[in-house]
Amino acid sequence: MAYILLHNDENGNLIITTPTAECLNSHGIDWIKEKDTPDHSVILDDSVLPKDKLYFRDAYVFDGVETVTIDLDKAKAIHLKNFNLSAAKVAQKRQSNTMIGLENTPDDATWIASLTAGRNAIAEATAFEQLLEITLPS
Amino acid sequence: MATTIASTDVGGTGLSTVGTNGQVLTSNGTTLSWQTPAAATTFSAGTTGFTPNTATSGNVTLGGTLNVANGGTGVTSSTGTGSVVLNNNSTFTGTITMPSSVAGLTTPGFSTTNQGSNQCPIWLTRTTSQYSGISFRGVSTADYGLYNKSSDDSLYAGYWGGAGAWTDTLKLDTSKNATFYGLINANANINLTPSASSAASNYCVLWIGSGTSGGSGQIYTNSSITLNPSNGTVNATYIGGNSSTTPAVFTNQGGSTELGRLCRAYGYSNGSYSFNVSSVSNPSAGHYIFNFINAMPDTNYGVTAVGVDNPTTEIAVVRSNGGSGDPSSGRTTTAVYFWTFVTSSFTQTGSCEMAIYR
Repeated sequence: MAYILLHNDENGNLIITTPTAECLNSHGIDWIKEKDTPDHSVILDDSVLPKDKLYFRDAYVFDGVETVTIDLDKAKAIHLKNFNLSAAKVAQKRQSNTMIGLENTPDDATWIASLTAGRNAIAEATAFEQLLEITLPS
Repeated sequence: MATTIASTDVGGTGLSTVGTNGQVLTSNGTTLSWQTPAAATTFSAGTTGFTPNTATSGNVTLGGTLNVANGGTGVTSSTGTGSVVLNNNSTFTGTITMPSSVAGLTTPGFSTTNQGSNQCPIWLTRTTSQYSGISFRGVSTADYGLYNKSSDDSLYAGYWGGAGAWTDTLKLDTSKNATFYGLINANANINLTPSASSAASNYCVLWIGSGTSGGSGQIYTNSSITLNPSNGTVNATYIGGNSSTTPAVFTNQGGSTELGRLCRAYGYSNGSYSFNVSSVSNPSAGHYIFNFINAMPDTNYGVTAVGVDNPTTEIAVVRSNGGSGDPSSGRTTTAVYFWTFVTSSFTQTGSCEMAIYR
């Protein structure tokens, strides 16, 4: 069991506290809970977290008991932001290629069309698993 | 008037004449008479050791040394004024046979058993429940002694304080160990010198505490202690500070200038490895709060941190300085707050590791 401590702050935002292996061995989970988290925090196994490796971290919603879900609208916003950041990064590289006379592959029209398709897919997703299947531009 | 000669019955001599020159009045048991004594014509001291030892006439001068058999010493040369006459040498070369018991002493007594070569010719043998040893009379109430107890084979040095028992000061045992029961007051250096035949590492060990199993111990001085090993390395499992919250401080020689400080905490944001970090809180994407197990003495500590991610993602790590959403100034005695982000966006994909110096 991999312990985590979950609680919501006064604004309803989830706080995830991960005990260190060092302190679990020396002091135990109860000591950590008392020292580092408020009384209403809950000791859970980290398997309750969504399987996205914290990619949608700011979209997590904790019910205060034992369940963590993902706010789909927030997840879409996160993925769209990351999508655009990656696109901008690739665009910089493509622009550099143009300036030094290198050909971009695919061509600009095709690449822009793929970006549009990705953004549309994000907007139309109905589950966060669908979002994970939409890869970032590269 | 007629002269009457008094008889021996009334105390007279019964003689009417005076002997000639040199004669002596002699009794034969019945009567007295004047007799001329026989003269000694020669003298000999015989086997007594004196000389002459043959019949000698004339004026004789007595010389020589009276032999032991005749009550003399047989010593023909002086061993010095005040010395004990042993033989004709000043060094004892003979054999003293010890008595099996001495009047006035019970146990311990003397043993005359031959203990073999290279052993002391004089020793004391302990009997059951007794100590063997030698004691030395002190000037007041304390006597001092070297003794062997009935309980073990060690040699002790101690004193008799008048309480009916010896108080041990030093013990030498058959494992070649010396045990001091009081303070060791050195008026000069104490040298720990390994013997040439000791282990290959050939080192000396000073144990403080309960023997080789370790234990607590302290060395106090009025100033600094200099450890100066020949290879320049001082090995220690623990180096403690002088209080419950402050670690040891690294200084120059003599301790007048502080030259270095320690890493007081470090850790990875996923909690997989750390030192002095109890947990890592994640209030939102890319934000990490490292909580300390043992609090820092103040917030004047140094912080270093780096982002950890794949090579294609540039991760920046910033220590919070009290921005919106921070629990405090971003640096307290109990926690430190970091942000990780890509360009202008906080990202949970960025992990970080940090270290605190104080």
